Amino acid sequence: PLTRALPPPRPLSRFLSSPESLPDATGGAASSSSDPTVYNYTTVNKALAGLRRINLDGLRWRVFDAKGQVLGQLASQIAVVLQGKDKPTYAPHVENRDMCVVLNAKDISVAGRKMTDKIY
Amino acid sequence: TPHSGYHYDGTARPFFEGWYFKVSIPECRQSFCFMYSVENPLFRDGMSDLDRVIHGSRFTGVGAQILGADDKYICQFTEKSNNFWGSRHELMLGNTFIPNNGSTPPEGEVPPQEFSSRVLEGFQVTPIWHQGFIRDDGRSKYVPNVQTARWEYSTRPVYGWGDVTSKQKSTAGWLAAFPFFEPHWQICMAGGLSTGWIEWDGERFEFENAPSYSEKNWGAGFPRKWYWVQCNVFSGASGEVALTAAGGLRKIGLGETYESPSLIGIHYEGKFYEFVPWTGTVSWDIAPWGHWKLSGENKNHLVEIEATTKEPGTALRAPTMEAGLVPACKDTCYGDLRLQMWEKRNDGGKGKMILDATSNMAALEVGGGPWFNGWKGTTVSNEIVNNVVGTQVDVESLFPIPFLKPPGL
Repeated sequence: PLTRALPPPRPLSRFLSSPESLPDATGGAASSSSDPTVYNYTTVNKALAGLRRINLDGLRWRVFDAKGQVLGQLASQIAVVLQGKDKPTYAPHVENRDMCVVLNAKDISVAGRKMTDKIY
Repeated sequence: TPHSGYHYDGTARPFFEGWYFKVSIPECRQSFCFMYSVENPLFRDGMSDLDRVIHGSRFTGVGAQILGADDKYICQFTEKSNNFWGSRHELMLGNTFIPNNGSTPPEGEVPPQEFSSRVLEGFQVTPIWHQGFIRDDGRSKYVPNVQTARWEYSTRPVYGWGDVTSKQKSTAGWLAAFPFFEPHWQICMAGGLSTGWIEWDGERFEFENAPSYSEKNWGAGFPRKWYWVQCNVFSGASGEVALTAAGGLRKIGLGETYESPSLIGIHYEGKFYEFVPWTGTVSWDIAPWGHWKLSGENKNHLVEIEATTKEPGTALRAPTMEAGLVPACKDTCYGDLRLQMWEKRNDGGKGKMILDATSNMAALEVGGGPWFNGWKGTTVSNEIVNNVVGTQVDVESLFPIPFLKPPGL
């Protein structure tokens, strides 16, 4: 099946459980610009800042395997899930949406000649 | 019918059982649907941390929901099932959410007066008696809501699942006695007549010989996706008509294989007309909301059902594997439905019309998901499965000693 309800993937859980353990990259401008390792940590911290505010209680995880799927069709299905409209209990004023995880994004297919002619 | 009893076998496997009872009052065009569920009753006091380490995280508890007058909704839930009881072989169950001061919760059926004096909030059910009082637990603000419900009514069965004069059938074949197709489904009473009263946020609805219905599911968890059509208030037919039609996406065995069984059952004039994959074909075309269309045929008959609604529907909870008792389906009791059935001619076409009936009180449901578009399909004729499931095996006779019968039979 295209979409499956699965337990949350562990790597993300590990990040969420211990973001504070990452080193703080607020050193001097000179050292941060010249040290790629510190820069990576800064990027990770910034990425996690938003995630920390998400209430994961009761969220369902939806895993989409993009391998061999057509980009437009997969995107439209994911959009429906993100809006919660794939559920019979959907209502515009009720928050009822799932977290979507896309696997194998590099193996996406596109219709026609878009793979060679189009740049996204 | 078979499988009226409580199926929990005491093991540690993931388990839920859900019961559904419906009363329709044609005089005021109102219906009341009572839904009781118990989840993983092995952990009667909820799961301790040690339980989670040993068995993994599970959802536990007892829930009572009612979809009542004007498609309004009430739900009371507790994570503990220590006050839940169910009879091993009969359609009998009960739960005490809050006992009266100084009273011990009943551990089985008690007379109505005793129930009222011992149970402040809870319910009890037998094949002929329904009684209870529940208070909404405040978690359902997203649907039209009532705060309290109280009821006492008796029921006289008319139709089980089979011809009135015959031994009653297992709705989905004899394999329902074993945990292979999950979840299982049994209609316990396709048609009955109920008399009593239901108080709905203080408004009392009294009824006499109101058409009623009951069914149940049990297993590891609800289907992945399903639809359901049920009705026993019809115009255009003499005598009682009872219709149940449903289909779902459910798991086979232990792997990730799913099947889409669909089923139509009609009781009319004491006869049972069954359209199931192992004796015929069922086709369905279900919109995400508002339109249900089904057709079926077996060796002797053809049936067509079309149901529509303009109601927005009310979200109900179901015991799901991944999130416990959460909103998972949408229902209305104000569906417009037409049911037509013909004898089959030798050439397979429509012969004499047996039944042409309509209703504006059909119960209609879609559940699970995902519902990206409508859901269209036809039951697949799988020779091996059909031969196995379609064989009429009286499982009860395999266990002549009552003590050794599996629970639920």
